[in-house]
Amino acid sequence: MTHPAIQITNLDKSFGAGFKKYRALTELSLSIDQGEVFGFLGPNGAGKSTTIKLLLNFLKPDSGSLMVMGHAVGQEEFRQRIGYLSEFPFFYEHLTARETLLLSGRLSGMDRRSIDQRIPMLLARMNLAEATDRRVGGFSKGMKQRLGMANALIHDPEVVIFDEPMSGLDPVGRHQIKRLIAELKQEGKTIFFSSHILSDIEALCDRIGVIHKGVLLYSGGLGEFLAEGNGLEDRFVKLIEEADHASAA
Amino acid sequence: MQALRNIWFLALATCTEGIRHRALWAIVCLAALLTMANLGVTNLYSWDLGKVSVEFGLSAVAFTGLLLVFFLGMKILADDLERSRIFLVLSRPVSIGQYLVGKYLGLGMILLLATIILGLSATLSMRYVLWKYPAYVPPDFSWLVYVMALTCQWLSLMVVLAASVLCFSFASQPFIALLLAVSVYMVGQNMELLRRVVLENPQAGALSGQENLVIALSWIFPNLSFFDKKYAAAYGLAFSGQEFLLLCLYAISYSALLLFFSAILFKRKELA
Amino acid sequence: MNRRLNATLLLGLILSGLYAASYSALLKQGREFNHSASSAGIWNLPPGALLALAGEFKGLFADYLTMEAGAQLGTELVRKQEGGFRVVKKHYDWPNIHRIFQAAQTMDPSFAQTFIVAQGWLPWEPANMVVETQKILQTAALSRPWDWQPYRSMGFNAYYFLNQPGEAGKFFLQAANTPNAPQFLSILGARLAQKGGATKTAIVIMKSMLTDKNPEEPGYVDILDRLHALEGVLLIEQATASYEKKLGRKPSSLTELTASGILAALPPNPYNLDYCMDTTGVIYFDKPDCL
Repeated sequence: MTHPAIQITNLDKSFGAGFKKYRALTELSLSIDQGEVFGFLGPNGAGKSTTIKLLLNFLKPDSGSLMVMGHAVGQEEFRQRIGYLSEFPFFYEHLTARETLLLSGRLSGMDRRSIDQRIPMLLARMNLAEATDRRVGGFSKGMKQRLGMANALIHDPEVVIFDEPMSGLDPVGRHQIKRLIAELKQEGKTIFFSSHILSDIEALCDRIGVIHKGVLLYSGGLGEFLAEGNGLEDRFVKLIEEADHASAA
Repeated sequence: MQALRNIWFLALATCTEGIRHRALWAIVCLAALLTMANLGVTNLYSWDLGKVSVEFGLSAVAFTGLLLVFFLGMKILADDLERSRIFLVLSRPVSIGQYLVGKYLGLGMILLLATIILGLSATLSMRYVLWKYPAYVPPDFSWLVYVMALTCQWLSLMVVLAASVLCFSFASQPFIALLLAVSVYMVGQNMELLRRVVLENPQAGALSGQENLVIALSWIFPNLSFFDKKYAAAYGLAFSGQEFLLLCLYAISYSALLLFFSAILFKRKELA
Repeated sequence: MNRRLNATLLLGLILSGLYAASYSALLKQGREFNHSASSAGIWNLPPGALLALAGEFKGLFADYLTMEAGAQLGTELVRKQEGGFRVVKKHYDWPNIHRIFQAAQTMDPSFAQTFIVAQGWLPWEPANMVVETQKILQTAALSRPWDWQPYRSMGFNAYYFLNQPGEAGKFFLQAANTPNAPQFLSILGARLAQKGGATKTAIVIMKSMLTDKNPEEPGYVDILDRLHALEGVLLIEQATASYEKKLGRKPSSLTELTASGILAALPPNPYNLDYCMDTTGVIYFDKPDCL
């Protein structure tokens, strides 16, 4: 029996203390199977990035558990099996694209030969071949996003986590990313990505999770979510409004 | 083994990043010019020209090193956190300890490079002064002692850098970390003075009755005055190999301890 | 466009004018202010505060302070309207200048420039700070064991300003003890020490100097001769003291001393001259016309 790629159970997370205490996540539970494309959507400030950072052990949960490929986050090493693209990928400005990928590959335990084979292949795939030896500081936003993708995939991980991968990209850039995600899905990778761009979710995802103010409102198949006949946007907005009314009451 | 490799790769990347930083080269060029100004400054004096030249050169190295630690080093660390660059590293199988040690060693390599460049620049100007005014060369002046003094200068900067990493690991803002690091440096420079005042004069004003506190503080804060060998190099005074080795051991052990605590404190940080 | 350019230029001119006027007014005030300001400086801080402030840059601070002392000493030249310069009598704040030297020594007690410049100004008129200079020189002497100059200067001050030949002799002998010291210091020191009634001290120091010297070294014989002469003088001084104790008065001549039987015969003089005693009772080994 294969374990889920990602398993989150009763996750709670708050920031601050006393009067300033803010509850970012409330008893969040979701499960993502291997090979799935899971879209995590919600309005700005819903808790998407917080969830991802908890998954990557950048933050510590107040309670609950997180498992990645059967490894408990924070207790066992699992990061060699995931690739991560942050919402705003920042790099060492004075390193070249090649040096950045070399560093990431080495830190992931790859040998030099493998890295040297994968770098040109990945950069070509991301249309960054001509910028291989240029310093990242001179890259455009779209180039940095694509470099981030290459960086997430340098060690050929089984699970990839993208935080708002299409954010700030022009239509061409967004198309390239969408195509890449489709390719990764065909390669059998598990893809967990957060977004608030509903059209992208609709095009790519098998299952989705909807989060609002730290509470998971829906987790399941995209088809079932759309079963009521309304479009994804209408269904999404209605769900959020219902949640807001319920919390106000 | 992978842990050591991670530290080395991070150190190399940090060093590469730092070396390509324009700020580094601006500081180093300015300091190199300063050491050449040594020639002009020395001519303002009529006696002990050798001591003026040696001390000026070593002081330029010290001052530049401090600029590099506080402004370049802490900027690189702060940028990692503020610009979320740290995620680039911590999303890999790299521990906090490996990250901090790698960063520290990378910045240390930059400091070493700057010390060598400035040391050579100072050496050239000193060599000229000592050649031109042989009557003013201290009787027991030794290039070996000068190199040892230069090494001690670098070790002192490494200790200050380790303290900066520690301040960075628990301070909520980079500016606060900078203030704390500067304070540690100033306390460290005067720790020996404070210790001697209290031990030799138990009735020393506001510190009377606080000998134990001062002694405890002298163990907590780095005693940076031990590393200040400008006087010895300038006057050709004795500086034994044994003392030099003990200083190296002190610097390494103290820095390692600070990095150890840094890793513990940094793990508690929320990288939001 | 032209109107905007004119307005920008006008604003620039006004700001530049304001800046020039305020800065020249400050500079003018600063010239008048400087005389009183020259006594205000970090050298007035207590030594502990100075050391704390300097941190690892004590040497640089010492260099700066000696520069400051130099700036406050020396001559002041004022440009004449018709061209050239005239020397203006400068007012020296000696206590302030002394504090600068002290502060420089706190930072770096070994710096030669400090004690040499201090010696050049402080003990002389109009400063008249001989005692203070001796303290500066003492600090320098202790911090520069390789340098005979501080003790030599102390010896000079003791002899010339303080009229203490005995003390002067001791200082010269201490200077003579430093490596590479000129030969004359030991000879001069011995003479002055003996003259000042410090014969025993001079003998002890000269003996210690001989233990560090090889008999083959130049100057060894000169020091040995001087030592023997001093030992001879000491013998006579001791006999004179015994005479005075026995008979209640000093002997009127060395002949009377030897005739009394207290001293059988005058000791041999390495310089082949007669020992003699002047009217005050001081014994000489090298005053051939002494009666």
